[in-house]
Amino acid sequence: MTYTADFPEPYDKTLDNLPMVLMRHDAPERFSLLLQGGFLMPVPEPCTLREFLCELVGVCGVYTEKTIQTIFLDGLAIDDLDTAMIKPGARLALSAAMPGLAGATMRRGGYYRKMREGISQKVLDGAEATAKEAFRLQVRLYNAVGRDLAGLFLHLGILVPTTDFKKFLASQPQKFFDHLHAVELDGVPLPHTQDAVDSWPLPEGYLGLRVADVA
Amino acid sequence: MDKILRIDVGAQGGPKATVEPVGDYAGMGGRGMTTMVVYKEVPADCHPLGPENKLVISPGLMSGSAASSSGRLSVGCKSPLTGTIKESNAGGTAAQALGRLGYAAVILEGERQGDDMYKVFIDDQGVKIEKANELKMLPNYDLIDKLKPVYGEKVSVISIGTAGEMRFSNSSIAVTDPEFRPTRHCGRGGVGAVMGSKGIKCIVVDASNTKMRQPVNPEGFKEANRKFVEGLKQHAVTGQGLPTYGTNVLTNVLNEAGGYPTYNFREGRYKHHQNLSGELQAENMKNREGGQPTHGCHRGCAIQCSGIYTDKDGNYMTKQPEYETVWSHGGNCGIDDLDVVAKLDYLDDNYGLDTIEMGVTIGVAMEAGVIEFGDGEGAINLVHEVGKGTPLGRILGAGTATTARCYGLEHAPVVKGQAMPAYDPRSVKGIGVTYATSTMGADHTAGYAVATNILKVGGDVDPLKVEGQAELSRNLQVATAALDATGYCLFIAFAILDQPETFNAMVDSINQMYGLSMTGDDVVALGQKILKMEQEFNKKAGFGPEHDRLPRYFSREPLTPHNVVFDVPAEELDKVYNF
Ligand code: SF4
Repeated sequence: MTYTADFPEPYDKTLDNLPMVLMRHDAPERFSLLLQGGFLMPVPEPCTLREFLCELVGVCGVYTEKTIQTIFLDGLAIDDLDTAMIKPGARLALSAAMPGLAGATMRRGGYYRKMREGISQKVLDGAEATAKEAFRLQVRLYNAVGRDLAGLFLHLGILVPTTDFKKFLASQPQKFFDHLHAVELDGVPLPHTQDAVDSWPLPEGYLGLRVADVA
Repeated sequence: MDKILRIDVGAQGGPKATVEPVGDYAGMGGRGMTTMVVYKEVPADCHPLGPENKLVISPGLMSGSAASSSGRLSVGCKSPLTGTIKESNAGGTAAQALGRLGYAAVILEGERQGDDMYKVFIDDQGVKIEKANELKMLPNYDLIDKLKPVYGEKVSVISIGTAGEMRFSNSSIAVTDPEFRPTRHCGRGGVGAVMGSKGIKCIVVDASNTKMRQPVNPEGFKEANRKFVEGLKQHAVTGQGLPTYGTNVLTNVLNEAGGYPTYNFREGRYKHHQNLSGELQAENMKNREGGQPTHGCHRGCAIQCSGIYTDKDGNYMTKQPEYETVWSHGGNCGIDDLDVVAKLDYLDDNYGLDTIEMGVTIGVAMEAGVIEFGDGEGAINLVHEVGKGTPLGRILGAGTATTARCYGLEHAPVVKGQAMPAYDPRSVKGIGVTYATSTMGADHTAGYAVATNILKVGGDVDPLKVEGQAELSRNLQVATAALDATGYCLFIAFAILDQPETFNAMVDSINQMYGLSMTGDDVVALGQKILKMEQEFNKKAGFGPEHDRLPRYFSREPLTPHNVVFDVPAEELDKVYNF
């Protein structure tokens, strides 16, 4: 199913005050290969996975229950969104339901979850005290989830290593640039044709990336 | 499907065909048929390449009808790789063609005389067998090119490449797809070697003068099949995930779980996994000229998990490589280039090799220092060595276990001599239980996730009380054996697992086709019967509980990143066959 809710206000408009690239692009699903590679997101304080998805990102209800069927936090398969805690240093991956026995086994609350005993998150580690400080969460969006939620996450803004961003742009076909209508780096417009990408003065390290629709 | 074609390859004057009524094998198809014939007619202690072994080729019960995704072809024999009974199945167009011609099975039997190779031609007029030495040692694609001008592109071909002719324990049987390419393979267990040992290079099946098999109750069938297709289309996995990304959608997820065997099962995560992902593969097929991300292995599949993979210039490379292939040649060997994997997939198909066995064997050869991990060119050369039958190639073509033995390595990720597929059993222990106990050797499809919750295999299981690994694996193996008899593709499993109405529509389609009133219990009984025959055959072939084990190093050497070992106790494994 597709994600249809309105996008919420970004929690951190400055994206940790990193140099910011703003792209006007009308097909955000074309960024899904960048999102599968992993990115960082600013999070105000440790919270449950449901709080993160629902309150911070704006993915709630039916979409979460029906489409986000496979979730890993620090490589452990998650069955319960309300006990899984998002904490500093955490790595989160979101995916749709997967084929095969392995897919059925990994699935959230699935019939075959017993078969992955040993890599399921068991303890209620939310109980342990964690400092209420802002941090950056590592996120990976896979398959249909990446495609469906690309617009939302890119609207909120993500932090990516410049090298990954450049590599991603270099791998894109002309079709990607047909959907790109404007680019700015910290408010300064950049040429947005495919052959101009190499001339963009992107800083080294991390940058903030936000993608907005053309409107 | 009321007749059986037997080809006696040892007859005076060359192979002789006899057609007989289906008799005692009535009601059997696919794995049900192959297993029953091997169980009844093949001495369990025979040599797999000897005259007593038989190669049984059987379309599923529903193949050749209008039932969606039902074109699977089963091949069975005693396996040269494992020494156990073997059923290996593939898609492609041949099951439908044989089904439409009314053949429930084609059995190759007897002792080959001399070293001539033969081709078999089957159509509505009968069977012709001709000497075909001009086809000797042709790889599959070249063979198809030779057959095309003679038979056209509408026929189906079941063939062996050079590996099968050289009787390698890793050798597959190819089946052509709708584009008349030899891309679908009964890969596992060295079944190609048994076809080679019978001196049959190819079977050409022409069903162009036949009609689809007619159901006993056409209206009821139409309705049941409609509901079944609707169920497949509306489910997230069969309606969206598989058509969009194919099975390789699993790469990222298994990697995330730390269950993606890397560097010959040394590590559970591969740092370049995203270069091999289904997401990237789908983009390549979408963006490159000639690529096609959604494609069926036979006409009438509502899922279409396959695709056509082209290079950067739009030239055909191979069909969309499956997850297991991308893993075995990719992450398992430290190769992170999808185009190199596609080339390897093509070569495997061309020479007639199982991609899982070949990739895992290369991983072992890399560990032995034959080539370095990550050496894509080296891997391509090794597959050529196998296809050409060089001295090194003959060792590698004998499979993973033999290769590890030749190089003095303990690290042979095999069960009963067959290479493990793409899921590390230390992370996904339930799959480890299935690898250990399957009648086939390490096999992931032996428990693909069939609707055991609906079938209630082994009684009414409380869904809130999760059963033990052994129970779950047993139930899966039973349900899978039954499904393998129908000709339905295992990829329907998710839709029938989640949607009872889709499962019911599938059973109803079978009932309407045959005028039966089967219930879920009958499906379970069929699965159990098949597994029992297989287990009994294996027992007579010398396999006992002590063979239902993973190699010890999986219990001793922890797998990163979770540092887990396989710790399911032997007593638990021995419970799988308590039924
Ligand atoms: S789902 Fe895939 S493998 Fe199965 S029948 Fe369809 S195309 Fe073939």
